[in-house]
Amino acid sequence: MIARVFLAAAFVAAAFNAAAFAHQQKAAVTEILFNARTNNIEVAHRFIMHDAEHAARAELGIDGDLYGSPETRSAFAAYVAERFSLTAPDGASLQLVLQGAEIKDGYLWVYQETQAPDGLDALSVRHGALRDVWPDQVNRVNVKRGDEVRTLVFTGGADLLQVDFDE
Amino acid sequence: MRFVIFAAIAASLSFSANAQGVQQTKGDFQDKFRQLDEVLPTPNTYRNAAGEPGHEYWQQKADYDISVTLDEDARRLSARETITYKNNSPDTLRYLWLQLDQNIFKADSMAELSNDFGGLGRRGPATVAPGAEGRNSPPKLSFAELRRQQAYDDNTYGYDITAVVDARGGPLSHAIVGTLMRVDLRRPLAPGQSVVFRIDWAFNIVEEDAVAARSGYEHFPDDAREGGNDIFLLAQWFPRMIAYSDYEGWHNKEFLGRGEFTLEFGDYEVDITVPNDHIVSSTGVLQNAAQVLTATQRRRLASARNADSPVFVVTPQEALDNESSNPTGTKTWTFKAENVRDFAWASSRKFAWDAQGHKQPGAEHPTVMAMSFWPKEGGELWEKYSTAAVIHTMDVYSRFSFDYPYPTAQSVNGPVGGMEYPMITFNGPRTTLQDDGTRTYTMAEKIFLLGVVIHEVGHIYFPMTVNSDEREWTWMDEGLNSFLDSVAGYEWDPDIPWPRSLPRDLIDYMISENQVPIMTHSDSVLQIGPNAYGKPSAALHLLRDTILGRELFDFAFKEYSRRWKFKRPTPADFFRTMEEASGVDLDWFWRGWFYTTDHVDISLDRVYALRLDTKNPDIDFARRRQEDADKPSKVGVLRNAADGLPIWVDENPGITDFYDENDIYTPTNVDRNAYNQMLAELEDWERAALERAVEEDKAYYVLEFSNIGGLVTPILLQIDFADGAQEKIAIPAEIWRRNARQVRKLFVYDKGTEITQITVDPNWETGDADIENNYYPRRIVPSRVEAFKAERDPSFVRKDIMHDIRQPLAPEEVEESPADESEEASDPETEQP
Repeated sequence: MIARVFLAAAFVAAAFNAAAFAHQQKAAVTEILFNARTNNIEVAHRFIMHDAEHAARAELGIDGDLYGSPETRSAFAAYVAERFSLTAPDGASLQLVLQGAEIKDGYLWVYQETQAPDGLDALSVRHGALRDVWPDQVNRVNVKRGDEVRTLVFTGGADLLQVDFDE
Repeated sequence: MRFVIFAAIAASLSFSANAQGVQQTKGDFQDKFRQLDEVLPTPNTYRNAAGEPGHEYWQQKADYDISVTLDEDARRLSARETITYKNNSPDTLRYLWLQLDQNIFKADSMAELSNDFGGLGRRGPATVAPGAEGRNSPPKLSFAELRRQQAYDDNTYGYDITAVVDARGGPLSHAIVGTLMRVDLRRPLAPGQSVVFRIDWAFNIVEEDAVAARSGYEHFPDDAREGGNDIFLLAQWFPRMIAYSDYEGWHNKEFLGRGEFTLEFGDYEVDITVPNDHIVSSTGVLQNAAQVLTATQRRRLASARNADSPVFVVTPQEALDNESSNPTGTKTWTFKAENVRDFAWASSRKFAWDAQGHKQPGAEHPTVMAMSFWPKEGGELWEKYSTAAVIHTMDVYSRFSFDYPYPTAQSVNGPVGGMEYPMITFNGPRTTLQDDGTRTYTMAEKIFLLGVVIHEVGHIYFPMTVNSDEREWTWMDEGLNSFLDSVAGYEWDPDIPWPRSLPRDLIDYMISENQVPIMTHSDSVLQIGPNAYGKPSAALHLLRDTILGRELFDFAFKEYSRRWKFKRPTPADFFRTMEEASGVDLDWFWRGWFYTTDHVDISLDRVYALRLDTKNPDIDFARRRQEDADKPSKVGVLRNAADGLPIWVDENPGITDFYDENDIYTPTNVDRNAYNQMLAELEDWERAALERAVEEDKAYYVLEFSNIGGLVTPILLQIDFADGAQEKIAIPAEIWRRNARQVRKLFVYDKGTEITQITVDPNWETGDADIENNYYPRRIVPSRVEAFKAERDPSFVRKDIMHDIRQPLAPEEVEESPADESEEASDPETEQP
């Protein structure tokens, strides 16, 4: 059987790829926090400004001025929200509400939030943001519940990863 | 077969048992302060126990004499090199190894063949493996990958080696093994002897954007000249001697594209023949300016030596004019470079060129020519900041290490994002062409330019001069250099956010499960950015500003730089030197930060406020009575009173006895006699100590800490007192040496002193992951999302002044500003508070 190979038009070349100065670091960190005070699941995505800017320009087709333009930040946040999802073990997708984006401490942050379902003992995470732009984008996700930190790393072919919680 | 398998398993078991070394086999005590000598290599005559080059330290020397010609139209290099290789080792060499890095681009190279489709195997265009985007998702190729494949179809890459001959022209037997070449010597090369041989070669230059490399050409089809123009960046362009060292022998490991390299120092004389309308930037010093530069250019270059700001040698307008020129022949630019470990160059007719002399009085090179080369695409961004950043880098790095060791320092714009070579760096930032023909750049692009130029020029110190091996220990140059580039960055502008440099930037990485220690071979590091750049930088900032202090750190770091300038250090040499020169035992620090994946999280669990007992019943019993009285009333008794229940003793006031007048805290003569007896039995000095302590009646506080993250670290405290005073205390990390999990610390204050708040690491110096348990009493620390939502209400915090200031002023009768509307409209999913 000859399978089809799709041409992904949205892809762009990795034009800046020297390792000596990995300024385009292609590495994002996401924290999924079970907030016991609010009983919410809070998601905070942290992107390197320069990564986000080049991605916004290439991927969103807009002037990537994340510092100057709240519209660009909103568009980037919406892009991230589209590529990030949480699913409960029963297959129900958690309805994350996009809270917004801001620049703080030199990074671009995108925030999402949802109410924590009762009795959640596992969580499936999908995190494709920027991984459709650069093949070597690495998204590190720390899931924090109580004193426990569990880590999922989206590299290579990893697309959907699951974290189980100790009870 | 079975026997072989068993044998292999047995061998691997015994190896792993061996590798564990000393073990704690009873209890669970972890010695976080265990000395590192059993982990570090044994000192020897080549590198000693103090971390210095030993008395028999040696390294090889490789001198190159090269003539190279660039065929612009064919995008092909042809060259001939004569290598003089001096064997300074105590070993006799029968063969030599050379690096042929261009062979990584051969269609059958190991890098190419071992590429994992859709995986992480290659630095290059995107591919997506089947199933990677969900069950049954199709495999994908990007346009960039198609372009890469077509470039391979249309071109033949890799070295054409046409001659390997000895000094008299006789052929030398040689074997090409992927990106390596072994040359067999006619006679063994004894210690102290030199050998001269020649290699002729050519190769087709890769298109950097198509193939993804550290060098290559970039094509500009829209330039005025028919057929457009190219920028050529040439690195890893000649067969180079592989390093031969005391600790690894030949460093002959196939080039897979990621791990960079270490090389031998030597002297170069290179003749570069290019179209006669090109400008060449190169490692070394130009020897024949009269033949290749115009009189005007030479005059400008001379005036730049003593200028206070960059002087154009080729102005942006002249560069623009050159874009439509056509060569009428060739010119040969001759460069000489002494004591360099590599050689790179760039050539194009698109280059503007500026220069400024950087003065370092008393240095071997009192004037260093800082220079930048960029096309119109670099624009004002380069004109303003490139050469300025080159000079700033030398100012800061020289203070930390040694005078800049070469006569030139260059920054060249081309298709490479950022890469360093001796005296020359390639840096990628560009401006963006707007529809109206102007060129602009964003703040992030500006930070990129400053950051990348500082970083790459910084690499001329580490590892181009302090010659560590990046293929084996990436952190030794990237980590040290990231530390220094952030020092230089914060000295450029402390308000610009320089990410990934301080402990606070690395918390998310350091708490995560999936990571490896810094001391991991570069091929096995999972995430090179935080592992080899960020975490070592954070560690060094902590070491400098918190643990050692600037005086001790700066002395030791400078000593490391001095000792290993133009030499080849290993991690042990760095660790040992920093300890020896600072006089501080740092084995716990190297162990925790470089050999483990622990993170910092200190919790202040409890605070006990204590007062010394006097032992005198007439004093102590009254205190006990008061303590009892201070306890809250019993709830049941209060309820009884509220319900008006009768109390027997109140109902029967006539019946009383001795115990109604004297409670259990009434001192008796029995107690007093016991007290006097105790005093009498004390030694004189004990009695005096007690009397003084009773008189002073100090306030005692015991603080109880636990180490949740595992990484031992100094405990930094801020103590606030009821009278408004504040005290800062640093408890050395050594407090954890007997118990790395829990420790207690006593503080003694004058009578009546009352502590109201204690904060651990108030200035976020250590990378403490959990802020909440740093406060006693505890304080609620809002999460990021909570803080963001809270800040959204007041209008000032999120106000985007840069955007808003560009909005037109509305007529007075209009009340709502258009900026507010656009923000709401563009973010429909945002919950409005």
